[in-house]
Amino acid sequence: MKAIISSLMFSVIIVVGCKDTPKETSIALNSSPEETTMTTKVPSNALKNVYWGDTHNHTGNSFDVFLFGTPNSTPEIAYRFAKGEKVTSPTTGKPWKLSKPLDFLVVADHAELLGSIALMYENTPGISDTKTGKAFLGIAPNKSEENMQKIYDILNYAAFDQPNDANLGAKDLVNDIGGNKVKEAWTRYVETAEKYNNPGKFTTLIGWEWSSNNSGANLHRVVFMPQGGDVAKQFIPYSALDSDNPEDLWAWLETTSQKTGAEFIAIPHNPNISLGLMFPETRLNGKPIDKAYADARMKWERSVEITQIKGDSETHPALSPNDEFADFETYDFALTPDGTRPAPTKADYVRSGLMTGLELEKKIGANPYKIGFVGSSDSHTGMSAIEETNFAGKGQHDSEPKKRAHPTGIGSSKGWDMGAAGWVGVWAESNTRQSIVDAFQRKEVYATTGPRITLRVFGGYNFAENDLNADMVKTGYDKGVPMGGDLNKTANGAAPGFLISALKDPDGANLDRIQVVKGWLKADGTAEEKIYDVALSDGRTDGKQKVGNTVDLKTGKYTNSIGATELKVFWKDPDFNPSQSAFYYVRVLEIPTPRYSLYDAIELGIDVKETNHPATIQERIYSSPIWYNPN
Amino acid sequence: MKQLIKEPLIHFFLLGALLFVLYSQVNKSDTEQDIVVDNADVEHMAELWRMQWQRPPTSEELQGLIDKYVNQEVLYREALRMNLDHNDEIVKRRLAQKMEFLGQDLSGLVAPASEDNLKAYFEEHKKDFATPYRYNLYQILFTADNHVNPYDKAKAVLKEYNSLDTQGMREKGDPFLLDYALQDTDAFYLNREFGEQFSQQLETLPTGEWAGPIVSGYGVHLVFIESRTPPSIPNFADVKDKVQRDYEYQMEQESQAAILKALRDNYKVRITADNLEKATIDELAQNQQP
Repeated sequence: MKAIISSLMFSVIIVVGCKDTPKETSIALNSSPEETTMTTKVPSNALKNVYWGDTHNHTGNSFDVFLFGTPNSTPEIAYRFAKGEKVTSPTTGKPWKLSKPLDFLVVADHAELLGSIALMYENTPGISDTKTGKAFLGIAPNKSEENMQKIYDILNYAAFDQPNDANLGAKDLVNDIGGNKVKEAWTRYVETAEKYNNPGKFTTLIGWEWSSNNSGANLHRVVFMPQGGDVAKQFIPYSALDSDNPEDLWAWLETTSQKTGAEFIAIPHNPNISLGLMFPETRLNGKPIDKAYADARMKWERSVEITQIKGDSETHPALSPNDEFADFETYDFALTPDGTRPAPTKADYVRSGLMTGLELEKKIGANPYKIGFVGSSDSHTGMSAIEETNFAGKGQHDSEPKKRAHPTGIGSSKGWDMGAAGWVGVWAESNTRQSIVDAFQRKEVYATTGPRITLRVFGGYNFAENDLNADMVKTGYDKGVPMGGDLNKTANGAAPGFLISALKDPDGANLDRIQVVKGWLKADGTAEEKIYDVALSDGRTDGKQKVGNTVDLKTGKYTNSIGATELKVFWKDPDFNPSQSAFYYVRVLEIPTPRYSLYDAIELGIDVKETNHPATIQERIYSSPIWYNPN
Repeated sequence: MKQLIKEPLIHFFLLGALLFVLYSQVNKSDTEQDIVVDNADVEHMAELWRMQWQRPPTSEELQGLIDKYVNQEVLYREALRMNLDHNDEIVKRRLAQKMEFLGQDLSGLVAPASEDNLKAYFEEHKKDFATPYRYNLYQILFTADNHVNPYDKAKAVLKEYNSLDTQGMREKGDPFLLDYALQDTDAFYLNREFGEQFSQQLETLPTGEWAGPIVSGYGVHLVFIESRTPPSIPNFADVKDKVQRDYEYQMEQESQAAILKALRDNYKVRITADNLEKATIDELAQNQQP
């Protein structure tokens, strides 16, 4: 009966629609003199431009966005917002706009139950009348906040066959509201992505998130590809309900890639809340990591999301006690329903992960963690709004300053525990799907916690101080390798040199310093780290000397009277040992600027201490490393 | 009358009325005390079963499904008779949602993305589709890293060397990783590269000579504009996809807002709760304005 009604409804629309559709008239082909013909050629630059984007944005197709009360967030709004248009915020209903457009966006909704929770509450046959649908609608008949939290908790257990209030298992979820049932939502999403892709101006990459969350350990991967809808519609995105083991994901990527021609990029995120599982020495099945694991992982996962709203994963003060800037947006609220805050391990942070990679390489003959760095938002609002001055929050529960003193429902975190970060800078010839994905493959990408600092890094053996001139980029490519590249041992065992240049965000704060972070493998097979201050602003020669702080805590204003517009340096490793494998990456710090929570405190008229976070932060960028290989 | 035809609310009611008529047509065999299970109903039940269990139901199972359907239908009708649908939160939500869906479907109906409508929209919003200012230019930069007063330095350099050609001037500025020659560039790119304030200042500078100083997010510049092409309106055909995307988005927003507003205007809303924060009350009051 229902089917008849809905098909009738459709025909009514058509009938009435025809009534009002004006007759097609022939289109005048000769245009008025003021009109010009647009060229469709996409400009390309062999020396590459930096394009800014977010590879990790969620909309209402994600079960958690829906469950946390933002069902009206759509991919359409996400693209419009990223393009720099003013949109009505799906969380607050207020107008919201980025200060500057982004160049590309990956809407990466959770593949698990993609779009299904929405369909369940629309009483869609085949979803709401299944065992799972009925169990959920029984426990949570309406979309109250409390009910949404209940479903969210059940899902987190049921997906991994753990006991839960609804007595559901992963199989139930797949059969009832997952699996093939996400096809409609996937197709709709793919078509929207196609519609908004505009080569040369704004690129949409089709993707999703595989959200393995075994026992609360975040092993999530964002997956995307340069191909279009014709390829994307040939499969249904692989979800953690199919398997929560990353090795199974890689196997699926391999098969699907061969079958459809899709060229996948997978990016793990939030190692900081992976409970020791992101950069492990053993596989999930308990066996030691071997060369086959390393090769498969490196084929698909050439970069990691090092910074995002749920914290910064570069390193942790406990792991890097000699790094005075290590305690930055530290976030340890694991996605466990009991709100555990685990102690950090070296498998939870990127720098130590890279070091483990060097250690494993010596043992097994391949480095499983030879990865570039990406920043992205993981915003669950559909808006990639991570500027400190314009932060829209992680999701519904921290969308406005007045809500941010309260729990978010994500682990035991509160609103102000979220960090306003990050985006990724991509060095690519042109703003097109293929060119951008190629840059990810080369690891010629870098992470920012917000500011759009332009960073060039080249490593090689034939550079000199006077290469820091206007032709530096050309020299860099001609005589060396860019970030993400490899350097091999030379006959005379010379130390590699690095050309590094950082330009401030033209609409942001000045720069404090450039640092090189080195990790290397000692003779005993263990790795070590060291940080070099290689360029300092304001004529300082000692990195221990702080740059200062101009932030007025009453008004939230700062001045660019300290720091540098540009920092550049030619640097050679003074401690180089040609027999030790090593990696080098660049970290650039801005002068201190207000954390968003200071702006909140000012707006709310409270003491900034009540936010439990520092009033000011030093925003930063991380280049992908360059590796030195002694063999 | 034409205005009336374009009015979304009229369509909304028209659509509602049509649905009502059609629904009663389809249901003519289901009178109040008469429950009919026809082929289509059975097929629908069997299909749902297949989706869930990946096989067709056995005849026993089908019988169970039909029984369940009949029971549900009986209880549903009795519930309606007893007005149990009134003031039920779930029923309310579902019905309100159905109305919203009607509203969403309407935008394609009231304002279909026909060639004429798109062209009209394009005409009205021409400037949204205009190409940005295009330039061929050269620039040099003086930053605060290298000069106590970069503005004065730029002025002095301009005064002394303004007769130099575009090649001769290159070395007079600070060495900086920005392109010296920007060929076939536009305001969109310049905003990304030099910051928000830079490109607007180029619109009025003289061309064919060194000019400035003007400021960017990096410092103070002298600029030689070789050529400047003001914004132009592209051919409709070249931007049709973009026009359609914007048009459909805009119409959906407008028609939904219009319907809701028109419907709301029939109601007088008073918030009598006084245990709210003042800001909240003010905001709510604002929302109640017709």
